[in-house]
Amino acid sequence: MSIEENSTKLSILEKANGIINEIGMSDFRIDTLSQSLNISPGNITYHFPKKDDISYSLWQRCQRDVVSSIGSQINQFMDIKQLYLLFRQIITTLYSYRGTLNYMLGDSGVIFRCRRENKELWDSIYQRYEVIKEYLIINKSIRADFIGGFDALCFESLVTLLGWSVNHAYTEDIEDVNTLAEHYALVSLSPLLPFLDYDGRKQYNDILSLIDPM
Amino acid sequence: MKSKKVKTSSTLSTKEVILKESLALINENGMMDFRIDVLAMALDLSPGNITYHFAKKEDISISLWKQFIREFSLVSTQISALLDIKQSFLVLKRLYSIMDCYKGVVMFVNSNVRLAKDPAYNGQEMRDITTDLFDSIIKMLYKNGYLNSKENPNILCIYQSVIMQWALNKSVVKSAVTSCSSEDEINQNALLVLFSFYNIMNDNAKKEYEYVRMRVAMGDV
Repeated sequence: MSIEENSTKLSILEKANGIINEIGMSDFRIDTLSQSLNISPGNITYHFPKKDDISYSLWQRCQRDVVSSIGSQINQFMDIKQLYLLFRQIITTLYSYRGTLNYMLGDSGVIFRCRRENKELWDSIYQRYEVIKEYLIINKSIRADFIGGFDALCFESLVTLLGWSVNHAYTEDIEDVNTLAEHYALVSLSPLLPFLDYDGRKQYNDILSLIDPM
Repeated sequence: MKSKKVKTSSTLSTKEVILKESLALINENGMMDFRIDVLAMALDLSPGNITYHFAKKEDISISLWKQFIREFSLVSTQISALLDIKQSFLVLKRLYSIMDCYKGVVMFVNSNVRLAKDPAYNGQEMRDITTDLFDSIIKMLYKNGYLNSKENPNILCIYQSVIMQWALNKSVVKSAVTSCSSEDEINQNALLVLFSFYNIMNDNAKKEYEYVRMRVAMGDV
């Protein structure tokens, strides 16, 4: 693909993402997109034959961004403060793809159509969760007995909190992305609260004193 | 033309048959792919027969959502003065069983930005019912000596509220990627919501919770 074609494709995706975030996937139309980009609908369908191809490409970009933020922020010094910052980064990324996220994770038909891709994402997040958990235990942020039977409960709670916080923010009229990410990163630490070690609890209280918990 | 299904379901009105079949289709294929013409074919009715009762597909989802809210609001009647951790698990399990029955519609309404505040759906009603239910559970568990505090910090309220509303979406994603059963996920989600109270549970409650968790893990509930 030429550089020009590549940049057209990128412009289409960026514009589409803005529109989908604004009006949602069900009201999103190729012709409205072409009008706002001032190009012919054929120019769009050359790259993306149907609107689902656009949302699917956006979903892949979103997954790539989330997985790479997790990958780039995991380190051997992982503690509760760094975990908070990682959650904040994940929520900010998800917010920037909120329309697509709601479509891809809010409709059972779409979820089952994208089963293979979602499995890769689920597995990859679980592997990174395991690494983070090990570092948190080594660094005395969470207690070792956390591993017990609470692992699956914590993992699923974290996935739900991070994945759908953006939806909760809509119901609370929170539109500023920084406020939203700060508050929900704090809420997302909640499943770990019963298992925080001395250092972890101290760090959590420090965060609590700096961030308004709403 | 009269439908085969309408004839066989003599106790249900045409409108009820339409809603029942719609729910099955929406649960299976999602709301985005749900079409009046496919529904008409499945029921062996003309599309006009359906649009006579429901002018557009969204009217069907609004009716199903209201039906869901009616059933959902009745769960609070299961909270008694004898409430303990095991019974709280069963109340929450009932809640998730109802959500699972209406999953296609519940996921659609809870994940759609436009519908979050649409008066036709009144999504706030589900959040209000959930908040009242949690308040009752917390008060009763505290009274019966299971919680360290009857104060539920705001952060935990938001945690519970997000888990309550979207663990269903998580379940559908999980069952798509791991092929776990609906029943397993209903149990797991009831445990997940109860787990959000773990931070304020006393040792007695934690022991009961651990017992329920083990029974769920063994598939014995």
